[in-house]
Amino acid sequence: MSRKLAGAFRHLASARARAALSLGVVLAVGSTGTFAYWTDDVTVSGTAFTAGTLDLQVNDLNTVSAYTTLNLATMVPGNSMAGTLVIKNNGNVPLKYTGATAASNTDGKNLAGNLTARVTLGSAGGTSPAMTCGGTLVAGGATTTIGTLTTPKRQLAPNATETICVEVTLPAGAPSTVQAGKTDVTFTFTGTSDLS
Amino acid sequence: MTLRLERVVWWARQGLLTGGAVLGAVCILAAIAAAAFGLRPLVFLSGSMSPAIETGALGIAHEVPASSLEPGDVVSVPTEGGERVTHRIVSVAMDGDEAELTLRGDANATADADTYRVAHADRVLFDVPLVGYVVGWMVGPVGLFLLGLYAAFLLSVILKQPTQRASAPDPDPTAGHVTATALTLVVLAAAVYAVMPVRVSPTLAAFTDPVAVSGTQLTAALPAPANPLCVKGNGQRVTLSWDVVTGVTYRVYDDGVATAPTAAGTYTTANRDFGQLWVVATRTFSGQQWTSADSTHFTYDRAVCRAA
Repeated sequence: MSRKLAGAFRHLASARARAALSLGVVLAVGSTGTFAYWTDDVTVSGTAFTAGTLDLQVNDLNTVSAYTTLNLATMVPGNSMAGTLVIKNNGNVPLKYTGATAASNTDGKNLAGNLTARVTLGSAGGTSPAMTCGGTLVAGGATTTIGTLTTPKRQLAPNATETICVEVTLPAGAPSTVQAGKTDVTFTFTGTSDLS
Repeated sequence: MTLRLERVVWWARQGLLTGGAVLGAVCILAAIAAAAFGLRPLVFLSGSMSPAIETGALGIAHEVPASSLEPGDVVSVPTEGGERVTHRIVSVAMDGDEAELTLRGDANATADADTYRVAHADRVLFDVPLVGYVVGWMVGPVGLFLLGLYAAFLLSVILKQPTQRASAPDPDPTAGHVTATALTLVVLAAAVYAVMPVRVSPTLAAFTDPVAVSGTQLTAALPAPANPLCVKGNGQRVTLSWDVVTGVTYRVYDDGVATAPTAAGTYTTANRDFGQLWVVATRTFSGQQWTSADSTHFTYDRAVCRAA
């Protein structure tokens, strides 16, 4: 019995047997290696670890608290205001950013719900209270209300900047019930690290 | 000299084989366990879950149905771009069997811009720091090349013709060969069965950085008549004037009494001792009337005007 055990152990300890067991590492790593290629549209060799920093800036600031370009104290149906913002990837990794709008309605007159918004890649033209954004439309149209306007993801390489134009309009058909309504409009741009 | 070199090679070979066999056995057992319990290894490519999970960690996740997800769990879910993001659950909104997850990285100031709709998610059970770097390196070009060399070396050992050893005669010279062949088959079968469905997934513990742009304030109002001016006229009359805007109608309030609407930009009072005077603008948009605030109020007293 002990002879048999010793024999079995010797077989297991033989160079061939150990080599066969060692193949387990090769196969395990070999098969997990497929992960680098599991997206068919992106070819990644190995893995890109990111020790970088992500920093999205708007107009060279991390928080813009006094953007008054679009301010209008007397807005009537048909008026529109436009202004540009410079979006910058101030970090050292590529990022994607999205933009979202929000508008307050503290007085209940729903001026916010009647405003429409657009975002373009271009510059602002015209004079107050009839300013518009030129260039390619990124998001929004004639009837996109402010709270629902979100821009699709846009990619920015490190140190790259992009100038976008935001336009806010009170459409000609707005009801007179919004008169004296006041709203604070906020644009929030969110950068997400883009590792693909 | 050659003897010593041979000894070094022999020891290196033995070390490589023994160490490889132990590691290989661990790998096979781990792969079988992963397949049996539905575990998924995750390599963390970035550090937005730090300090809980740092960049380069290898996490082990277990797939669970959406209904058993709770805020505070760290889950790995696919993004719309086909990548994978591993963040902590902020809130769960159930809709039938699916859940709408709001996630946030521990190192992030805000939740992810997108929510994730999932029927099931991989919940992270634990993580081992730095091991992800090793895995990442091994599946990189250099690692795969070295692995190929290693595999070639192993195959050469397995396939080599048995050499007759004079000193220690083997009771059964073919036994080692048989064991090796059997083990190779077992390892291959286990690998195909267990390892194939398990993939190490690179996961983005993606950073988010929000920038708020505030300060924009809009007020819906028809502008009041601009540049109102009150001057002395004939006798005890005074004349109020203002800038005219096309399309706008004006109504003057003389001593509190509304006068007839006019498109003109002036109004002259009757020959009267004193009173109060102001003007408002009205305009029709899509059939609805908008009215401005009052202009500056003026008082007049025997043809002397002053702002009230």
